[in-house]
Amino acid sequence: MVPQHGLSTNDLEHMADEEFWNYARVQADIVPQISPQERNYQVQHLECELSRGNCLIPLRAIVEVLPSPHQYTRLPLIPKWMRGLVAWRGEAIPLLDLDMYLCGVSASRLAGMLLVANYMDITVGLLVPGIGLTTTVQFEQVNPSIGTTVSYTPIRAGVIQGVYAEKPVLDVSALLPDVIQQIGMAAYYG
Amino acid sequence: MDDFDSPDHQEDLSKEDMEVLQAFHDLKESTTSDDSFLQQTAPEISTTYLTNTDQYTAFLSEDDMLALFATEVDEDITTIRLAVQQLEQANQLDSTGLKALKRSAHKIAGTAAAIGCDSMSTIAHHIEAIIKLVENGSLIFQTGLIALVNSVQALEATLHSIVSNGYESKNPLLELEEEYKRLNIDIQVVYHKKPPSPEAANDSSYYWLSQHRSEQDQNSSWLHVDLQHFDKLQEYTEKLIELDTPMENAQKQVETALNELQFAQARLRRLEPLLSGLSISENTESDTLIEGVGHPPSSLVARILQDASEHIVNGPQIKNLVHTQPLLIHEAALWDEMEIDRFSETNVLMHSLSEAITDVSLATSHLRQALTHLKSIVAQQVGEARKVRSEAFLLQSLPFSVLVTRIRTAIEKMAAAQSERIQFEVSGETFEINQEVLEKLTDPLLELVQMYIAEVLFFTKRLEQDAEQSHRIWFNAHTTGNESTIEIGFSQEFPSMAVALLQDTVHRLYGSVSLQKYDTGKITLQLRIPRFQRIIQGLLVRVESQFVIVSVSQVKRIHYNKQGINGTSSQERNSLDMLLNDTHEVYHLNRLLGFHTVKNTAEKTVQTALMLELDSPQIAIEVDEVVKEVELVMKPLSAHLCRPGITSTAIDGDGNVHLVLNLPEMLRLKEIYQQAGGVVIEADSENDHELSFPQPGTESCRKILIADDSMYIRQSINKTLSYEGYDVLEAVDGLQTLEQLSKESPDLLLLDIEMPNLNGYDVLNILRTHQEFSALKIVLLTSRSSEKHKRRARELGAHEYLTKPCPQDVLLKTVKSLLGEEKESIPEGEK
Repeated sequence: MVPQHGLSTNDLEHMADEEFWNYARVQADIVPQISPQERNYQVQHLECELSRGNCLIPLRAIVEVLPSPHQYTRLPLIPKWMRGLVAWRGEAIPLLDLDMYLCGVSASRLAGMLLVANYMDITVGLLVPGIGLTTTVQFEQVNPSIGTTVSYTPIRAGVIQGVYAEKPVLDVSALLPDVIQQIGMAAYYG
Repeated sequence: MDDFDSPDHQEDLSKEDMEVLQAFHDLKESTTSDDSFLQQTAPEISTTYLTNTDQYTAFLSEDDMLALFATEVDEDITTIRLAVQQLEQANQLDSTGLKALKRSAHKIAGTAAAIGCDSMSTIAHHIEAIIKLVENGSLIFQTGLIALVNSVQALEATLHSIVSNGYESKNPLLELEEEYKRLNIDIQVVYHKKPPSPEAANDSSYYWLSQHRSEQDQNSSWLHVDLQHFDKLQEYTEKLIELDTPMENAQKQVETALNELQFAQARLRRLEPLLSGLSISENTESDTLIEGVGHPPSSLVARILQDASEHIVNGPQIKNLVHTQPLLIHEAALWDEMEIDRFSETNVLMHSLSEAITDVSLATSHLRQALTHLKSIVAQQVGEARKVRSEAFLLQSLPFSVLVTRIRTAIEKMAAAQSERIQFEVSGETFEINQEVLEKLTDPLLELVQMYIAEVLFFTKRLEQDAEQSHRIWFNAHTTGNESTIEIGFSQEFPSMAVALLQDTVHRLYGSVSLQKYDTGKITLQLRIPRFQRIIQGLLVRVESQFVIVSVSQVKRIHYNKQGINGTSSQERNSLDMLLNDTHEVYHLNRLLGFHTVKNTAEKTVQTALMLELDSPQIAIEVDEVVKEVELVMKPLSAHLCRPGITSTAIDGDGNVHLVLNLPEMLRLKEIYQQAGGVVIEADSENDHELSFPQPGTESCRKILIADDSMYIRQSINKTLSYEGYDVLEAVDGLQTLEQLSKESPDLLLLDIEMPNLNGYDVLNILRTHQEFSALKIVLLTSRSSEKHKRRARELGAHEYLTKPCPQDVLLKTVKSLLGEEKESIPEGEK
């Protein structure tokens, strides 16, 4: 008989092999209870146009999608992929050229869309040439190896979670902290 | 234990110096207790580690480490016990006692967790929690005191079980938690970060400057209220209420005037198609119209008719029309309304039009009057509202003397302890300064003064003639416009690094710190802080296409070349340039900001410049335009967006972000940077910043500095790293960390947050202002595990963040990875 609840180490030690593996199989089948809605929400991604092909950004990280701002405020000593500051909901947030950050190529002026992204109280404006549809990404189908299909600046590999349908999936939990750190460091090291 | 106790230092010092050192050390630590049972049980261990730390470290056994841990925890428990006794005697909250309590409890929590003594760590955490509850008013002081006494006993019992039995007993913790329940203390409140209940807050007493308010408590309604300011506030509020009726009347007038105008406009609209039909019927009729009636003496009608004519007649005919106008107007004046038969329908129509125009003019006039009246009322109301706001801000003010008293006491204590003569002079004690400003400045200023005294006493080689010379510290406060200025002077120079302590605080208060050194050795610090926090009265200045804001109180005057370059005679231009060039250093703001460089200034005349409120040198900041004066709410910049000389941002009504500049600070930093031989890197530089980071050296034996106030943690890590072949250095507090960094130039710094004499954040703040530490890799190693701390550390430039207790392999992996000795990255889950 296979026990249904968690067992102590002592109990496990006294189990027969067959009994142990049956227990292990039952435990392995217990998966976290995530509602279908939540599951869908977690994998919704927004497709963004970049100069070297499209990329996918988790929709849950996007707080607002706005037209590209007409103007922005320049800030000294910033990385070249940061345009400056823009006002969003009464706060000044950094405006990033995502194309320049990922590909090293500047997006065309200020045309495009502004994606306001947030992660752990970090809010930034991501300037992209354009956006496409939302895509439901199956995480098991994301290839963690970026390989040669994506031609992004090698130093940005850490912010790409993997590739899905030949499109890089951005890891916002790595992207935004990296951006913040780079902006902060630029103030001291140029 | 700091390095004053090392034998090397002691040999260099005289007996008198040793006494002084001891006194200072006692003052700082005040932790030694005679009745410590561990001093009876493990005296040899204590002696050994005090006398020969370095040699001792490499050969520590597990038992030695445990004994070291026990000794250190015993010292910390003694500190806690003494602090609790002080609180009992004082019968009120005392910031110094609480600080010592918190620090020691935090230290025990971290060290005990590192060694696997979870119960002891939990008890120490409970002590921290009890302090928080007492501080934010959720727990009555006396109850908190009983809980603290019980907690200390539980700590002692737990430590005793470790020493006696070799393992930790959980009973003291369980008994303590039962005791908490008996006292109705919900310890989980703090862990779950619930705000204190208003009822509980009402029971607590308010001690200004005697405690650090927690984040939840920042918006507390507790304020000192000056009766005089309160009366004024009431008076102004009543005036505001009285203005309601005139405001309503003014609005009604505007509405009436608008109705009149709309009626008149409707009449005009009705007439318009008729007039148009008549005008285009035939040229002769149009001529008749004009000749028979002429234009009413209104330029508007003349223009309407002329426009209509222009559509139907050619050039020469317009000329004829214009020529006939003076005569026709004269005829119109002679027109008799009663002789209606003589005039056609067109004439009547034109008369109506004339009346309608008059009505419109009248209504417009009324409306203008009403608007003027309304504007006046609104201006009054805005004026009154400003007064109310000012008074409300003043309610939050306190005289400078409140801060001075604290500093004077600290100086007297230290100076008395050292039998040194330190003169303390103050002027402007009655000036009122924002309470928030004073509160935030207190600790950094106290630390600054203490560092100065320590510098004078310990680090300065005193000459014979100096022995009799007393040292001076002076404070001067005054208010100019919207700015409070505090000048702090020291008769003797000391490391400017200490100033960096203040800078961060002052910048967060939207102010600036200027350092002035004199040949005589004295130095002065000038703290400029907006009188009303969060609001700036400034000049909106344009540089190229960018608009920035400069505080009005920083500008002495504005220099205008009114006619501009093209409109100014060469003689005027020359005299203007001479005026500036002879007496002023001229900088272009664009260049100061590090933006695109301007044209060669030698070929260009200065058109507009801001003359700064600085004594020497006279400085002019060239700008493209001073647009207007503005009053805007300041928004603080996140740490990663902070740039030299830019204190905050302000967002105008159109949603534009303006940088708020601190020009004196910007100039000071530029000067420092230039002296250091730096090259200003412009914002649009083509350099890839990530690739330009300095790379660490390639020496085989890398130096690692461990900065932690826990001896156990230091020794434990030292052992691990030394085994791996690293050259390991240690520092017990923030100041010693900075000293070691300057002297030894390590490759990596393992930094704790909670340390005495500059915490980890202070150290990070200072390091980021020093280019020479740019290659240093920094790992925060702390028991603080919240995202808030991690984020702050990241923003301040830490490369990695590890939480205590940290597994050895993770620590080594992190160190090797940062030093470029291992290519694998650290698993995310282990950070």
